[in-house]
Amino acid sequence: MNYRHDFNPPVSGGRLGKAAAYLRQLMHSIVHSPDVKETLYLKKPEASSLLIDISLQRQGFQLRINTHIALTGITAIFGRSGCGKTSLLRAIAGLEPKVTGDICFDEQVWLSGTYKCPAEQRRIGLVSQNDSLLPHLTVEQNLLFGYQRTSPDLRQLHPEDIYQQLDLTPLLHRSVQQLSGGQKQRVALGRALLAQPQLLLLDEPLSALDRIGRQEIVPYLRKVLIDINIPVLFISHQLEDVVQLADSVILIEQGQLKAQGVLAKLLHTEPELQSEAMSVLYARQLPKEPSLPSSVCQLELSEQRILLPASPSPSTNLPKMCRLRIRAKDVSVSLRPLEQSSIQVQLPVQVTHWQAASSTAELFLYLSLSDGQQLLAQISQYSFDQLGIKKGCRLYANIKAAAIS
Amino acid sequence: MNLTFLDLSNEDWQAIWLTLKLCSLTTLILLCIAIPLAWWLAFGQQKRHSFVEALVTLPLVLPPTVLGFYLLLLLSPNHGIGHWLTAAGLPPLLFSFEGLVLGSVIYSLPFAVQPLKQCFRSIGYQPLETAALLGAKKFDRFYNVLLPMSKPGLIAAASLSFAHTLGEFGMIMMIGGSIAGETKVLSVLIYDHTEAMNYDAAHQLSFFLLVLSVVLLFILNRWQQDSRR
Repeated sequence: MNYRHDFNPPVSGGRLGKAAAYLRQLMHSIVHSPDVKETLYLKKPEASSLLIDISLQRQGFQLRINTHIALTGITAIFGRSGCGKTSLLRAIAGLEPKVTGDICFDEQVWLSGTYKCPAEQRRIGLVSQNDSLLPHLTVEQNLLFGYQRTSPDLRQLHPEDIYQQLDLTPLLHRSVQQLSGGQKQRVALGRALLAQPQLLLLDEPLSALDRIGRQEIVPYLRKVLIDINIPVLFISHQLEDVVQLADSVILIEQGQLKAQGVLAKLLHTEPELQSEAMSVLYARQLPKEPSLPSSVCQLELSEQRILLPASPSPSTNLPKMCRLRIRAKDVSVSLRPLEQSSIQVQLPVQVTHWQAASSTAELFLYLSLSDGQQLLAQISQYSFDQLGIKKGCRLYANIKAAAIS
Repeated sequence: MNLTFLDLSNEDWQAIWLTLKLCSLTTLILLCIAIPLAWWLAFGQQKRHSFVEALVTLPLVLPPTVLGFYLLLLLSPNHGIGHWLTAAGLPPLLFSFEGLVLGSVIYSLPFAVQPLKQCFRSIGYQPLETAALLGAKKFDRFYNVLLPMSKPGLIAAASLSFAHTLGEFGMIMMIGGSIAGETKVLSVLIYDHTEAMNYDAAHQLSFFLLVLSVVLLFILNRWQQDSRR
């Protein structure tokens, strides 16, 4: 991999030079780390890197984060309220004046020693949980605020496309006060994207919305985040949002980094992510075959073809890779494939290990699919003994198609 | 009493012109000072902020004569600022129009700072942070976000400063005296007319001031209501 060697820090000084060297070294280790192989399930091969080594002292609270994040697709920052997620995001955006340390994004130094790159030069898009539209401007003026302030040669996303993708055209000439919560967040998302960001930060963009408001933004959010090739950092304290959207996860606890990695893996190792035991599997969408009824869609999961009920949303724009969420209690295992059963998804798996569940009569089986993906099954101690399950033994995992979302 | 509306002498017109000039100039200067000062006070929580806040609010509680007295001391050629001014070969500020402007700015400062401070607090940092992340630099954020969003506060600050300066009397008597065309503003002239038992003239000017104030406050209030919508 080639790095530009004409990298000039914006101010002279030993710290910056060191930061740049550190950055190159870490970029190298990121690119060659085993984590990257796992991200091959995901859609983007090249990763932006974000290096963070910061501390922030507040009354009764300290944030200390030292990590590098390979930003492929959507990364969720997950943790309880008050654990420092928002402070971390604000530090990355350059909005926390008191933060100290180093932040580098790709080859740009954003914070190092006394040098601080001002927020307006970082090209970050931020959609926050509260209403951030400028009230003295119309919807259209809001949307174009950032676009007009980016140099024309950086403009890759254009207003017409974003308006169409986010369905904003009917709102353009309204005043901001006339919009519903979900519409406001859609406008904020469009505005952030039109400023041509190199990194998109979402600070619980859904938390202030009711169910109807969520429905007004979630489908658009997912569509845009999949279509647009911008790395996304996404804060949530709701596991459901993380599982729906994130490719990888950063776990924060009391201002400290607890764990980070690919979602499918962390789901099985971090108790914070296990309020309900589940797995995430990635499957490839296959083209429609005329012999099949239109009520099902065909996926390739772990070298197997599976049929799932077609999702009610229009399938024209579905991504080639899709994510299946499977609760551990919807997975059963058998020694032989089941015949003449309503179970449509049967996958050959191998037992890697097991662990007692909260109730002693049940346990979690960790199963490995033929392509290395992990699946979690919750079965009773009794059937575990009946089947005589041992480490490394081969089974069939049976999943009810209707339980997959 | 024979009251013909607006049967004003040259001296009266001169005083009206002088008063309007004083009020406009004071308001303009006050806005320039009060915007940064109010912003600083709106988000500061340290001791120095409280101290400056107290100083700024002082003219609200002190009798104008006390303020005028200390300004008189400060500006007199034998003391402090007056001494330096004379030493630098500048005209003394005492008993001059420029001195009145200085006095009025201090006297009306709280009336400009308080509404702006409240307004800035209600706006908060967030819109400016939003604008910064969208690529707006400092002046751009100030001019295209903070100023338009502060319109109600700016109108309140300007109208209160103007109206308050219009009604200034004690301080002007202390540091301006009553020099025609230089420091003899409407309130002083009305006092002079009354002293000279010239009630007709005093009444005309008083009435003029009354109507002007009501119309001014009414228009500004309407304007403020519109911009809130």
